Amino acid sequence: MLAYFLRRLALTIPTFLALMFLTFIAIRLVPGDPVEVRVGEHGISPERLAFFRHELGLDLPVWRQFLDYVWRLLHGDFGVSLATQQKVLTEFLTLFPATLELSFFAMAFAVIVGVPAGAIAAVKRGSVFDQALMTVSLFGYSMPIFWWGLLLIMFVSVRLGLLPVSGRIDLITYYFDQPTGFMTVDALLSDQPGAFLDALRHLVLPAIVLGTVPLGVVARMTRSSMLEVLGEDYVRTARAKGLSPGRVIGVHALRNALLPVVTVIGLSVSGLMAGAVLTETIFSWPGVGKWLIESIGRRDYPALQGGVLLVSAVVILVNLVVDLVYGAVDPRIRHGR
Amino acid sequence: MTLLDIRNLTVTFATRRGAFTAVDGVDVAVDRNEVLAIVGESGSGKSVAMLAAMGLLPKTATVTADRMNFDGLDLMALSADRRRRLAGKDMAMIFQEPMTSLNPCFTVGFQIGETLSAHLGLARKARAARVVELLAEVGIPDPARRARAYPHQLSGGMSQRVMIAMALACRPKLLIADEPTTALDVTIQAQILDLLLRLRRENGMGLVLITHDMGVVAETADRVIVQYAGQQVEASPTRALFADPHHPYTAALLAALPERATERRLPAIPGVVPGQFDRPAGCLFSPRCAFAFSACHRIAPRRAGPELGAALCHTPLAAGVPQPGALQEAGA
Repeated sequence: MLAYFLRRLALTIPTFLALMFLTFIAIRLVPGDPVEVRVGEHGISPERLAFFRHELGLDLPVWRQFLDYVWRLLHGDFGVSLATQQKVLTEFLTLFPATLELSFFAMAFAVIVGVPAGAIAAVKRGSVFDQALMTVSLFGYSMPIFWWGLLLIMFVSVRLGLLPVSGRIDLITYYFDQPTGFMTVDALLSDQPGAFLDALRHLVLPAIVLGTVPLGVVARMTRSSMLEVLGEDYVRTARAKGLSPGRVIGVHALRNALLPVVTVIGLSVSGLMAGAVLTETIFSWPGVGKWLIESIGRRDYPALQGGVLLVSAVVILVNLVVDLVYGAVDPRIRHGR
Repeated sequence: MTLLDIRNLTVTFATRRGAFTAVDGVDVAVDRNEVLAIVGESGSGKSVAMLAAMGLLPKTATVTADRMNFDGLDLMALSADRRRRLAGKDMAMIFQEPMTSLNPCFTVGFQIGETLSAHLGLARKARAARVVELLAEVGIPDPARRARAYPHQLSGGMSQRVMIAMALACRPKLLIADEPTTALDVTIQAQILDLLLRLRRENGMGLVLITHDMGVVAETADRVIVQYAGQQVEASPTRALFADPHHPYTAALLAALPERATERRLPAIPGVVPGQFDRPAGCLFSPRCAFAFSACHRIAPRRAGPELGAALCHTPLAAGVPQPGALQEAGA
């Protein structure tokens, strides 16, 4: 198991190298550099421009800049954000809990709704429910996030006034320390009445928007996996034992049907991170995604490079964890077969 | 009173391309302490008939019968819930593929224990003790350790023993074994059959053995039902059937036994069992029958009397010779 883990870990090194290279090149291909963006339309004297560029090391050849960047990374230095003068790693760690919280609730929404819905659709194959779910999940999967988000804001928040439009909590009413960075947890710890509920209310729309794509994937995967499992011999055995239909489906079939679903959930984490960039921007959610978008706008090279690398690290880590979770669900893998 | 008493059982599946009759007018009767073998090729409907008795057929199946009684209960009149409580308790079934019939995600102890808690309501401790007892009873060495094993850690023979332990958990009155040894090595086959017969003797169960192996039938069964393409073509006591088969199909099956072969090459029955779309007119076996003549291809045969094994044939055999009687009665 340990050897397997280490081998998987070693395999991520080329991925990281490629990522470093690609982000480094991609951001430099965008017209304008940090100094120009900061200066704006007014313009400054060429001497001052050259001075600032020299100060940021932007006058060096690109290959030198890349080597410097890699060299500093190898020493654990992600650099300093040009916009905030804060260490990139510190910024990331401050913002990441917000993204994590959002992603967690989005995934929870997708799983809690998607797994039972998919399972019921499989059992009632061909029914109206089945057909409706398949149609809805196809729409959910194909829905552009920004459009879906704006639609929900317009209808639920603006028209009906049911839920807040943006942010993580009502900052005018509630103010408290954030030791964990997770608003729901911090709200509970703060002892301020209503804070937790308010944090949850802020989570509902972004979580639904971000969770819609995984919901479609999870529901469809559960359904097809369940359909396959329902025809298995051991399901017939379970029925031959005289177990209740609920137990046959909910225990014997579902447990096996969930194996591919776990994989799909793991794989959709990368999609979740991509979705978070859009969702956070729409809902002004102060997380890593919104920060990355803003960094692109500011041509904040170090923040962008470091941010992308760290997000990728998270995705790779999650995929590793999924492999391990797989072993917990499927005893055949746990025992190394 | 007969333990399982089924008369004129018909099972029809609704398929995309019309109805398919998998079982067509089959009679099954088994008593306690009795071993009934149901023989036939793949696709002869022998499993489907027993799945119907267990109530395990999918919703696409329509089951009709003149009578379907188990232990004095009318199965067709029982609610789904009542039938479910019968399955696994008073009538149990084991299957052809032990390796895939056990759920890979749970320990065998858990899977046997489930039956105990579902039907007998045994508590955790009593359940665990009973599981070990059952595993020991079916001849699994080191039962306490094996109870914690997952199916993939067991061989095919061990898995089938586990399936048997599971089926026996509630001391059923009837055990249906659907080709229990087909997927196993030859050396293991004999062990499993011996085990089934011993347990049948010890518990006084009725045993229905579905098989396509005439050798197995000869060694185990008291009575035999031969099925072909969903129809019951012959029903006789085992000894009589082997001594003097009345249906040409039975005769052909017996001739294909290696022990009975006289030539260098084993005789085979040409062709395959007809499916949904290639049902011949007249006798279903006529295209493959060595004794068939023109009427066989046009007119469905009537059932002969019990002295001729209730053979479904125009000219049932007696001592290997076709008897014309039944055909003349049919008016051909």
